[in-house]
Amino acid sequence: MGFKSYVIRRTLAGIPVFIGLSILIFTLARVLPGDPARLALGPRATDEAVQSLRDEMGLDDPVVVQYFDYMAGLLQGDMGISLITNRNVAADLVYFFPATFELITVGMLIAIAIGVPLGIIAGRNKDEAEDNASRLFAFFGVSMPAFWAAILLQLVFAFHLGLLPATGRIGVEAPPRLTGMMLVDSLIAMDFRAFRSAVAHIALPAFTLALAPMADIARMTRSSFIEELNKDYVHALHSSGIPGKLIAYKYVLKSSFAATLTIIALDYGFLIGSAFLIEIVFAWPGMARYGVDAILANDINAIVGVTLVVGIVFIVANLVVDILYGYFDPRVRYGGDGE
Amino acid sequence: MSAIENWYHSESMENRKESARRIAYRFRQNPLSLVGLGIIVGLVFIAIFAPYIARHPQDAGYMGEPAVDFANRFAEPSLAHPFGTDQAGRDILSRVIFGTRYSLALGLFVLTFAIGIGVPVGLVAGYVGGFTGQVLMRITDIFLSVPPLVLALAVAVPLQPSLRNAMIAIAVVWWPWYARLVYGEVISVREEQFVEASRGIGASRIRIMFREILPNVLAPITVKFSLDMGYAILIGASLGFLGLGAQPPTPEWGTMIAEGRAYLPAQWWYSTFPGVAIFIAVLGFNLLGDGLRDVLDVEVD
Amino acid sequence: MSRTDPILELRDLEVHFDTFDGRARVINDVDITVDEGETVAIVGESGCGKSVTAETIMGMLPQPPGEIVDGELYYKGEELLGDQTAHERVKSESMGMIFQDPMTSLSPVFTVGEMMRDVLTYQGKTNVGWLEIVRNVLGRRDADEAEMRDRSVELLDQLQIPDPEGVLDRYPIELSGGMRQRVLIAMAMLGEPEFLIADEPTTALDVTVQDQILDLLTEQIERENLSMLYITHNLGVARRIADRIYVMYAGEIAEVGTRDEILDEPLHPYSRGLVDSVPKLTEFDRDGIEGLLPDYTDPPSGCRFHPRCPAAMSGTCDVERPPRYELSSGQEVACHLYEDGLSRAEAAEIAAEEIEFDSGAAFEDRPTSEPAQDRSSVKGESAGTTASIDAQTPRSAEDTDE
Repeated sequence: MGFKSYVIRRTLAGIPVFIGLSILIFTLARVLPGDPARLALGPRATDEAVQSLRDEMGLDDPVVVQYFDYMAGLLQGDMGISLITNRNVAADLVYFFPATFELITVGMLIAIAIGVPLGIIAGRNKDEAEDNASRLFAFFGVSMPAFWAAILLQLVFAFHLGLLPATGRIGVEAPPRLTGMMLVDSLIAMDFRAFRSAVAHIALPAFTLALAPMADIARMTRSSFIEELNKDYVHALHSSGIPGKLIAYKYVLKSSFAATLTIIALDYGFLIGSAFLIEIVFAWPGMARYGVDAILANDINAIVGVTLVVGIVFIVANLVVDILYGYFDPRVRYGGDGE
Repeated sequence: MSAIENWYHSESMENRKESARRIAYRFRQNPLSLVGLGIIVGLVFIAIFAPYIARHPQDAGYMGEPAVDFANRFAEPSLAHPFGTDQAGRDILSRVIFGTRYSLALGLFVLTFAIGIGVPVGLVAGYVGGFTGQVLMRITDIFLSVPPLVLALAVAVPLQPSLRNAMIAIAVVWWPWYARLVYGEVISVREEQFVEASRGIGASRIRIMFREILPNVLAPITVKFSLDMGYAILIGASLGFLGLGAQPPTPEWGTMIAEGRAYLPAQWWYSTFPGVAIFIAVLGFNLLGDGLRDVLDVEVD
Repeated sequence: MSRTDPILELRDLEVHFDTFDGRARVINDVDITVDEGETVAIVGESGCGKSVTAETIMGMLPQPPGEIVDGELYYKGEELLGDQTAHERVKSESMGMIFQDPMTSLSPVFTVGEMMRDVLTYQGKTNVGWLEIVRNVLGRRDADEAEMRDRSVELLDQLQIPDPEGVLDRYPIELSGGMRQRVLIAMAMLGEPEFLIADEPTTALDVTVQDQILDLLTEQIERENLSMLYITHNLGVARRIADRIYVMYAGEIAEVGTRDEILDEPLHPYSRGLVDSVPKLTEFDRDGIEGLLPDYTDPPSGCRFHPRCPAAMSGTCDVERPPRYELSSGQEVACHLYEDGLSRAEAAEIAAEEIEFDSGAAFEDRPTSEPAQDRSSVKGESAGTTASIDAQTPRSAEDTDE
């Protein structure tokens, strides 16, 4: 079985999950107690006003009809009107999503770039000082509430030391919007002043976001690295004459990274969750902040839209990881017996 | 067979003691898990005896109205108020002490509910299998395809913000993790000989599920329970921070941090100390869970 | 085969393990010598310390929980146990190892060709620079690539692997167990070792495949004039491959002799029990040794075999540890029945007179012997399995060819 057919199979498997996800979110939003129209308009609104909003939102139709109406609209890029912006939710998402995507991507890259080497250092020096230090760091990282870490870092680096800006995405005139991601747009515009400013602004939120997954990745890399190091093939390759360092950083690393990948997929989801907190603290104008605003305003269309996008991002992230897994570990492609 | 299963299956008291002794021995080999256990015992103690430990229990709304002492608002940390005071002059340390109750209660409720739903679902899906099993696991997968915090947010909205509703929201999104964990374990032991043997001698399905299969998933559930206590506390505090959980003036840690954020950076202690409490509590459960993972030799991710 | 200088000499090895039940004294005073060009087999039941011995020689004993308390290991006169760097160097330059389980002994995530290429590129080098690692990982290909491929194909071909070119581009998972074991042997040969350790390399394989692998291995050994230490619980295999045999019991050497001496007329009561327990086509019932391997944390005093020994003499065997008595033929046996300088005939007479196993009474439900699980019994989880050594391994692994 080839790699290509594996990729196709995995991609197709994501579709039912997406449909199920849309049903789940939609049902939760409609079935749970509380009248979205009443919630949106507040307790002082007249019953007529509430009823007319209910009609407008189609809330009196059966849930199944509502769902198909919504999905039909979704296919045409219509996700309903947001109560807080008065624009179509789809337009809002297109506007806000890139900022969040940029933030979580940079966060994940930081987490991998620091977490993996940390795990390897710990694994190669099992039970020694390096190992204990890195494990302690990992415990601290997963135990720290993201929003609190954000506040602390803000206090120290922005308010106390004044090294980095406390909030926002950019401190100079923003480059023309193409992708919506400041780092990319400023590079496209060759505006290095804007790029530097964007880097300075993203540094703190992305690093805060990275803390927990970094710790998790380090822990997973360490344990899979140690596990792989004790496998027979390591001794076999070594006794065939391949130097230990090459075995560790080529053979063992590739095997153990496959295990780390599954954690990365899981962490990606948690990262998106943390973004909801981090964007608030750093006033990052992204989708997560939009989502929190929508939640506080009981803006049901926006909430459904945001949750759906988060679900899609998570599904795609899992898909990418699965494909990478297949690349790193051929056993997966062949239906994996092996061990 | 893991030590805990040995213990569960042991017929004689003697064997049971021996298995327990082994578990205790392995546990003591790992000093970090002892630290974790110490933290948790401490937290439980503080939660139970909060009114006697806190110097100003009324500041946490215990026994009467919170004292409002504007003369003493925003006092810096001192001997009288080790964590300082807030905008109403309340003693933050006392409030943090009482916050222990809310966080532990939230974690316990969420996980009891999640295990109560998730374990039977996983058992049935794994053991009965077939169409029922498929449907149950597909539903589980769908729940798992949204990060828990985000789904909890979506669930929390129509429920009106309160601590109780935050607990419900988190519990609703948590059970699939246990369903999947149990399902995986059941699948792996279903065809093993001892289960086959029970089936052979005509044991009922219910009996096989709970007597033969459940003990095998005890170890991973124990580990996951400990790790998840910390994580549930984190999520609960996050909802509080976003204004979707406990409402002021409840002395819930996340809520307090959110309140304190308005007074940054000048009154730094307001947000800092409740965060330290969350951090220590979560750390305790993580250390214990990690130690248990080593002792019981299971992987739960 | 004439005795020449030993290529490998293990002296007074003592290995302990820290376990929950206390300190397990697993290897007790073991000496093993392998001469140039000689194949030596270590036989013994599961849990007797064969694999721990092999791990010590290959420098892959997990420490902790293991600890080498005493002993020296000489490779061509150079001491290795006290010098880790030397051990690493010798291991990578001169030693090769073939493992029991071909499933786990090849990296699952690289192709066979990739592994063989690395062996050829780096053999003899103990260290590589970071730059080199990065270049390698990024897939650098050298000019002599074709040459390496030819050499790999040649070896795979020697091991009778069909379509060697194609196998180079396959992942281990795409190969059957027998094929993987051949690849493993090829890998071990690729480094051009002088000394091979084989730890039950055929145990996990089908009986018919076992045979082929043994033939191929013997062929390679003879062609390259290698020395080999072959570990097995299978006397049939030992008979086919070994020049000399060490019988191990409970972490001690019970008896040493040439293949024929040990297999035709063993002297130690334990060896006799082993040889007797081999099923013969002509007899239906089998004799065996009653009892279990001892608890290593509290081994029997005196001779470790005495609680199971039909010829045990109280007052002697349970008090004094027998030295290895050397017969005039050179055969050595650690048993108080004998003394130094006896002739083979005299010793055989004593053995026949004194050692009598109860026929058939041993055990009804004889467990099939497991492949060496030495460490599990060391950890005190079970005190070992009943002694049963078989001529043909009853266990067969799936050997699915595509």
